[in-house]
Amino acid sequence: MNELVNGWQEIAITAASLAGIAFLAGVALYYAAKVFAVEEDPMVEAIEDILPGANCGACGVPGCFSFAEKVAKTKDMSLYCPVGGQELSDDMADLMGLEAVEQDKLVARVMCQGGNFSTRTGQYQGIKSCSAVSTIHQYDLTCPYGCFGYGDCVTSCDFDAIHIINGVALVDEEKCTACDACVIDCPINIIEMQPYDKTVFIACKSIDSGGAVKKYCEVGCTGCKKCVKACEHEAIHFDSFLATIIPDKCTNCNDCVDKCDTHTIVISKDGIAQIKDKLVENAEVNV
Amino acid sequence: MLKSTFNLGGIHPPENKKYSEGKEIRNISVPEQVSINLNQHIGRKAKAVVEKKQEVSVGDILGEADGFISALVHSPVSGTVKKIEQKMTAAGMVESTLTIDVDVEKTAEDSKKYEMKKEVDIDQTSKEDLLKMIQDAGIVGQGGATFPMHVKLSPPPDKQVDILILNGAECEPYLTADHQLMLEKTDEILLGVRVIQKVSNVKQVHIGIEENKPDAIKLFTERISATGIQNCQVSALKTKYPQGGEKQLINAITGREVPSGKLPFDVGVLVQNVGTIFAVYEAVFYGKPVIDRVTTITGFVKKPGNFRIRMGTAFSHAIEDGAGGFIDEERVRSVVNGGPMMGKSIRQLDVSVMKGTSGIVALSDHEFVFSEEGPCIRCGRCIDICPMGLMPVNLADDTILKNGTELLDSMDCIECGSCSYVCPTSRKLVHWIKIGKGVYRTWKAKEESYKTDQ
Amino acid sequence: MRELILTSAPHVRSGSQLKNIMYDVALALLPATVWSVYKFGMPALNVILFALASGLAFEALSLYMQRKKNILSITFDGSAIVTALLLALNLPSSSPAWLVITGSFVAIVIAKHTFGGLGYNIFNPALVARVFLLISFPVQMTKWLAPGSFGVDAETIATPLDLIKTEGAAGIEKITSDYTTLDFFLGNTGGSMGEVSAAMLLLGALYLMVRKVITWEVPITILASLFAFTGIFYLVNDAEYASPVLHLLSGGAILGAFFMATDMVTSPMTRKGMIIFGVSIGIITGLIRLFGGYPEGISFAIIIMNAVVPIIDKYTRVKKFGT
Repeated sequence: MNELVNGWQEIAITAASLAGIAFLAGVALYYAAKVFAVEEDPMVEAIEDILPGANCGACGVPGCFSFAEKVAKTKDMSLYCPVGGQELSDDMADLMGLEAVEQDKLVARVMCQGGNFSTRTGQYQGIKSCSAVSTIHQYDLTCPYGCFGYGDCVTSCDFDAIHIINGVALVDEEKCTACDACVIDCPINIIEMQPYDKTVFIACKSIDSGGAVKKYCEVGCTGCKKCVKACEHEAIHFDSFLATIIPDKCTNCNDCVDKCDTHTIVISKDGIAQIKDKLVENAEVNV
Repeated sequence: MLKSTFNLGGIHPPENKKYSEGKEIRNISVPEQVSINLNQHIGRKAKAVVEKKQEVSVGDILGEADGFISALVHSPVSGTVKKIEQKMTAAGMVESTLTIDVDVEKTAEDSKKYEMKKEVDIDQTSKEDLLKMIQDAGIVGQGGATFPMHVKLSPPPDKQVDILILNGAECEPYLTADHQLMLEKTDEILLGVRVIQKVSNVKQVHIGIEENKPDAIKLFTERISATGIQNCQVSALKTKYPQGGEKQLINAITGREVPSGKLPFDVGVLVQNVGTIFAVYEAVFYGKPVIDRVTTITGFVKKPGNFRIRMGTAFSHAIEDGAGGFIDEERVRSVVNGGPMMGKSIRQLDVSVMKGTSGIVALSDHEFVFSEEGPCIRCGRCIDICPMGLMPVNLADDTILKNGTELLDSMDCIECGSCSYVCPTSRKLVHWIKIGKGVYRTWKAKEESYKTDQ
Repeated sequence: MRELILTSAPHVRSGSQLKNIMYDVALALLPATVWSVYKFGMPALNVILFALASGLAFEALSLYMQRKKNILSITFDGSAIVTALLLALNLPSSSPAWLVITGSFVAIVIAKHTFGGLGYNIFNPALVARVFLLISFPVQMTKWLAPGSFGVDAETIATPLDLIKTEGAAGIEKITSDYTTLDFFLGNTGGSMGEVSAAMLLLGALYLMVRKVITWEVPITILASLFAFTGIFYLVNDAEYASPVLHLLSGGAILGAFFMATDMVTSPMTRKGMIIFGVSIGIITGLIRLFGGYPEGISFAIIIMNAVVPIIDKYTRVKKFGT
């Protein structure tokens, strides 16, 4: 009986002392929070709350919080979060009581669809990453301008919007938030930002002559100039065997697409994959 | 004799120099077509000054230096420029390349002008004139780094260079071109040394040769005392890779350590490769620009040896004509431009010899063993052997994690490949570190842009 | 001509591969293994074979469950064999099969593969298994058979370190009267199968040193600091404390120093770090042996130090060229 009482006493003492410590620590914390409180613009927090929180850095500052700070400080409505898009810009403007600035939605586009349609010389046996290949200049892709297909952009994409299909990177334009991560990570700068609503683009970067391109790629731009002639809006710029579409002038009329024999000009909405499937069928028929 | 070597790390890969060691330097015939890259050096690439279908003859300038850190490119042959196009070089870069159809007879005729030795009194010629001759000859470092020579000879005025080191270490396995050149052109190299002595005012000259080339050490010692060159001595070095690295060689011979991020002239040393010095000799005494170079073709070829090859000669021609082709074409797995430790494997034999091509090594399936990267077993061997005192395993891991903050050390890496060589699980450490340099630069640029933003 | 292979430099590689290293270690353990079979007979062989078979089986099973490719070549890369062999040598020859298999499971599956497999394990797998068994099954793990006596009438004896721990000064007296130093050296005392014979272990260790698989730093510093630590107490009071030579030659000191602490994965990477690591192990071993609850402490010491290896690695960087 006596032992039991002692036991209870011990527990009581322990509980009491722990409670005491907890109380003291609580008081200390309370005053610490008061004394060391950081002055913060409530607007920053409000903006941060509506930001996507991806911390991707696409806006040009290190993270969402910094972006919120910058917006709150400069009150510049042209600061743009590509991930949030126009909707977010409107919300931010509402929040700050300012006029929203219209922004174009951009998407990343891979300016190459070579992959399995282009030849490879040599066999690369090293670290499987694009930056690894380009650091040591051990390209096995015969085309000196094309996508290697080792997928650095796939790993850099936070939004699962880019994949290696048929040996070449392909952007899912619905998922793409134009955060620029893949553009930065691509060591050969084959990914470009283009307006989402201009759906036609020329997926090739090769400035080699037509004969040279034909040797190593089935879908490369040979510089035949047919598209330049077909375009009624003078929207195709041509320089050193490579045609490029000027988005501002393009009207999505798709005249050039039908004229392109090598299927280098593609309509993104149709899906590049479809065109590729067509090509694969053609190739099988030829065989 | 006291054999010195560098302090940290180092490895002893099998030398395999026996294939081509002691083989006399032979000329390789002029091919029917050469392709000359306009970027054969570090710095701005040369600007083409010839046009399509233009006739050129040996020694004509094809590309003009673009700025100070750049070098001239001369025509090694006489013929007609067929086309100017973008082509992959032996260094793996896509560069503008001139293809020239060669007039073989005219080339032989025109080359004769470089066989007449001019009477040049080095003591009477001014420093500026000598430097001009070197610059006009388009000489770049022939050891592989291809840094324009005239830039190296013009250090900033506040840096005083007092020691010239002649790099005859040739620590790369397989290669013997420098060795053979030292044996055959001893006096010529010593004359070249005198030119450099005069141009950069050095007090002391060391000729660094590894002890696996005893004949070269002996020959140089003899010729130095015979010709009576002042302040010039041979330093025999313990055989260890990478002795031929600039920083390692300076450390081995003078005991000085080039501080991290600095250049050899910061410790008052100038290092020049043997081949480069020989090119200087030819430029000064024959007025000959860099139109050929001595290169080892070795490995899995029928007749390995050392060859004098015209710039722009395709590898395939050099291997066929000089080395008698591969022993068994089916078994060739890799052809390396340069030595097997630091060279670059090429994807096709149509690339051409450049100023920096110190060797062409063909590796058979026996020598070239591919193995997948395994996990690190933390044995620490890469740390033990790193000649720069780095921790390759940490740098590789930080590269994989894109940890820019930790990658400052990667900038000190000389990319000698010792770490990858010793790794028991075949990790491609030096490759990761090379990538790490890029990661570090990107991170640094980003940091700086954030700083300027705020 | 076939397609040329493109890789990053260097294009040649040293012959020293993981396999060679691991099989060198296994080979170095061979003298001690043979000796243990010679001394403890068929039960010892059984323990070794059970350990090897179950170790390899667990390795293959773990790899299969991780959906690894070339399971066979990874299983036989030597690391599982070394782990299993080390585990066997750390067990008493009287160990029943279930004990050995439990040990293999703990070593390979828990200590190695749940941490990520070869190269990622924080603790030496064989030691984790030994410590696990020692704590969980103390009776089976301390049933030492006398060397040279096997079969049904095998007699059990205490290890020298057990005697010192349980009987103190009397124990020391008993040991010095029962055994000569040579007995310790050859392995005529009781103990785990692999740890009794210092001579055979040193033979293997010499081989490893010659083959440059291990460096001197870790083993020598462990033995030196253990010698110094126990030596000081011996000098102060040679009746209460056993001589440092006895401490070096008995128990798992030599096995641990040369074969367990030198395990590359779980030891520091730099030379400086290895010295810190070795000295600490020696001192902790000494502390446990002289003042701790267990007669033998090297396993615990190595495992404790394994845990701090990342910190050691962080603060023992090598000197960079040009700084």
